[in-house]
Amino acid sequence: MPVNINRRKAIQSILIVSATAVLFPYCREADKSVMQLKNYNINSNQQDMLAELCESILPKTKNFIGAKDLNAHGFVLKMMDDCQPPEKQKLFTAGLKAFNDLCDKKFNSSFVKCKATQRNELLTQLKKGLNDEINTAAQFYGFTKVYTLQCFTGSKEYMTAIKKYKIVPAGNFKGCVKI
Amino acid sequence: MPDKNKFDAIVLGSGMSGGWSAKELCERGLKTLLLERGRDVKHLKDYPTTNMLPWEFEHRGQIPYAIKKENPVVSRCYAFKEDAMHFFCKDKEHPYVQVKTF
Repeated sequence: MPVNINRRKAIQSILIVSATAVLFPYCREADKSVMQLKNYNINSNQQDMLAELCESILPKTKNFIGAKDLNAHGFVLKMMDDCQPPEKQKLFTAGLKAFNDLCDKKFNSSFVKCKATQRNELLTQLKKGLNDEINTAAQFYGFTKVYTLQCFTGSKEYMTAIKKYKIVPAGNFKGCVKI
Repeated sequence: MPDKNKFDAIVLGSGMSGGWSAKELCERGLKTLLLERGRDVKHLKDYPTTNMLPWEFEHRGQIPYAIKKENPVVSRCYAFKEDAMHFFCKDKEHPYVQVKTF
């Protein structure tokens, strides 16, 4: 019966179209590992570089965790996204690119592939430019350093293991002892 | 006849200091008026951040830029932070008119 076949075909095509409509947004999201931000975008290479930079600022040691364990680069990106005005966000993203370019020019390699000594050399150079507003690479480094340290010193791991954080900082109160 | 609108003491704000002052004044027999513009804050249920630990705050206490921009007046208060901002009347709720600075 031709009518039935047509109906079957029509249902089939509707199913295909709706399935595509549902799946399409997921196919477009090519890189799910990149953090989704509200006010600016970064790619996965930049995110990896930032993670390495944070780890260079606060490396993991034998005794204690480092920046990567705390996902410090995620905190840096979040704070830049939520708590900084648009002009600072622009400075940060421009600085991120400048930082990459500088590293590429200096060592002919990406920061991720640089050796620890090369990384330190670059960061020592940038430290001198922290007060120079035109030095966007140094400004980017400055933001990253501040938020990495804040992430670390404000983390549960640091505050409980190193600072011995207590919700009530007083000594033990003994009601039976007269003051 | 004593004036209905005359008071021995008027306390502005029923916070920790104001509330206590009003109590002491009343106990000493003064006719006291306590003024409070904020909502009734119920014990426990209206303190959503009181049991949070410092690292549990999304921005470690800092106010996001968008909220700061929307609330230029209350943002000037030292206590307008992630842990206590729900206690503040937002600038939109109580628009603040300042013809000139004091």
